[in-house]
Amino acid sequence: MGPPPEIRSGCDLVIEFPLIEELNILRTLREMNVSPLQVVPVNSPLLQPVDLFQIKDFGRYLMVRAANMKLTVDKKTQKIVNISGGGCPDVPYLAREMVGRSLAEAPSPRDIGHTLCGYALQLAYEEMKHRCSQ
Amino acid sequence: MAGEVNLEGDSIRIGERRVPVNRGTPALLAAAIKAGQTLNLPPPFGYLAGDIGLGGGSRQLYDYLVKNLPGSRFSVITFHYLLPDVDWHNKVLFALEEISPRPY
Repeated sequence: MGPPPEIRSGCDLVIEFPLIEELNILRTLREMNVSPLQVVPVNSPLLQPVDLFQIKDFGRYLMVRAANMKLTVDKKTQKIVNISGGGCPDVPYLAREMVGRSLAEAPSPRDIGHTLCGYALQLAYEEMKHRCSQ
Repeated sequence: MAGEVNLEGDSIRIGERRVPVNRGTPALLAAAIKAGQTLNLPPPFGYLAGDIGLGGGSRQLYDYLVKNLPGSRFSVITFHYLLPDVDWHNKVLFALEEISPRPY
């Protein structure tokens, strides 16, 4: 999930958990040195996490957006025609390695990416493969 | 690499290096060059490093900027496809504060 726009500050992801588990979860995260930027109760519709995936059908082309990363595929050939978004340095590298190849041929972002943008692109890539296989 | 960046056909040139304009930072630099031409401004000065996401090139670039920004006369600085690193960002910020007037 992505954070609601009101509390988004950058390349953030959000984890939802039952409020009753808050102390245990925060303690565990602190022990692992991954303290959250913010912990907020979902007490307003504006603070609902937003769906990580947004889909845009351009007719011949299908775009899947996961968080800040966008992957666009030619539905007819299943070729990746564009990768954009994010700000991490592996984004142009991932684009160079993946654009022009089919979903089946392209390397997986999980294998060649290194950042949160790479992780988000992996999610978009999996969602795209799932949609194109239907 | 550091130097003035110019547009040559479908590539940008920085020093002796030509980089095709297709995406990412070369595309940003090419757009900045074209905008500068329209506004009658000199071509931008670029600092480029290779980085596939492991951060090595970004850290080299931060280090270079910290050493070379003080004394420069830039009025606007843009960072593009750089791996975020809070410590290095702060060091670059201190280096920027040594430029007078401070760039945007």
